[in-house]
Amino acid sequence: MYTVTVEEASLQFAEVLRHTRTGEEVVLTENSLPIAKLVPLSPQSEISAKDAKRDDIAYALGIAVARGDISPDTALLAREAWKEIERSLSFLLPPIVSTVENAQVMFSWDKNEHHLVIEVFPNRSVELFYSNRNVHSPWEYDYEVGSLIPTEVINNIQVLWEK
Amino acid sequence: MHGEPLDALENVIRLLKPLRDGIVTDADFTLSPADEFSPLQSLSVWAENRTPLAQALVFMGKPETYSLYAVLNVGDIRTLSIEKEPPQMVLDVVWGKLENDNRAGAEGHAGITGLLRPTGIPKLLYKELRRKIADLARNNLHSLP
Repeated sequence: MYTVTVEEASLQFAEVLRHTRTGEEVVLTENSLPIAKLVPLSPQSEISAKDAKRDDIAYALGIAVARGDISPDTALLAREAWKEIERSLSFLLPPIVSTVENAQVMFSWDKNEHHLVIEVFPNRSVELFYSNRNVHSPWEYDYEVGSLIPTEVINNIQVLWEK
Repeated sequence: MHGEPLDALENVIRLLKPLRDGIVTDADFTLSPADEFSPLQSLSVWAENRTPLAQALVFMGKPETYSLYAVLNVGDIRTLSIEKEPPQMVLDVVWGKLENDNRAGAEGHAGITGLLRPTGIPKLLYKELRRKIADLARNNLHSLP
């Protein structure tokens, strides 16, 4: 597998971001692909808060790939899964992105006693887990990348999060 | 000594490599495929009083990727349980001898066991356990120099 250092990855990523934000031409080499494939390449004149959030996710995934923590395929899958998470749970602040070596990508949120984790596994399964630090009543919902998160699950999280 | 429990008063170090936010997450206490296949099926930690931080980084490899470490008390780890009543010890910290490694500090290698979910136990109970140990780590988190 092609790998780059974190510094190289950051540079590549910065170049790709510059392209997405300004539309300036960026020369992507074959070696750029593991990182470059993670971010959208359509030119944008302005970057919105939502775009910034997406860029943060892509940046973190790019670093994880560059470090060899996860494969480019897993990173791409996580980005695909993120689209649905972002659509359905748009009331949440940007998540913390982390990875388990050679395994899943994890998006996590904490707000006071509330704890929410969504894990994306290389086999396309997604596991959503909610836990309350004050009350022992964890619950979970499993689905697959490409499926929609049910309205009932979204509403449950929203009610808890906005208490 | 290999596989034997550490004293409850010992502190262990878990080296962490956050992607960017400098925050410990449940991922830091999730077994990787390599951890699951390791003899102890455990997460690597280092006894604070036997392995200097710098040496632990060398043992882990790719030291530049680590930017944080958590100090966890062994007794505190053992108090974490999947059920409140009655609490049962699920997690332990045991010595994990490094094969064919005689370098100074190697004797401090240990593993947090009990994070691998047994068949038939609901996975959300183990996710809750993982959340608890991550919270414990969050209380004693340090940046690497």
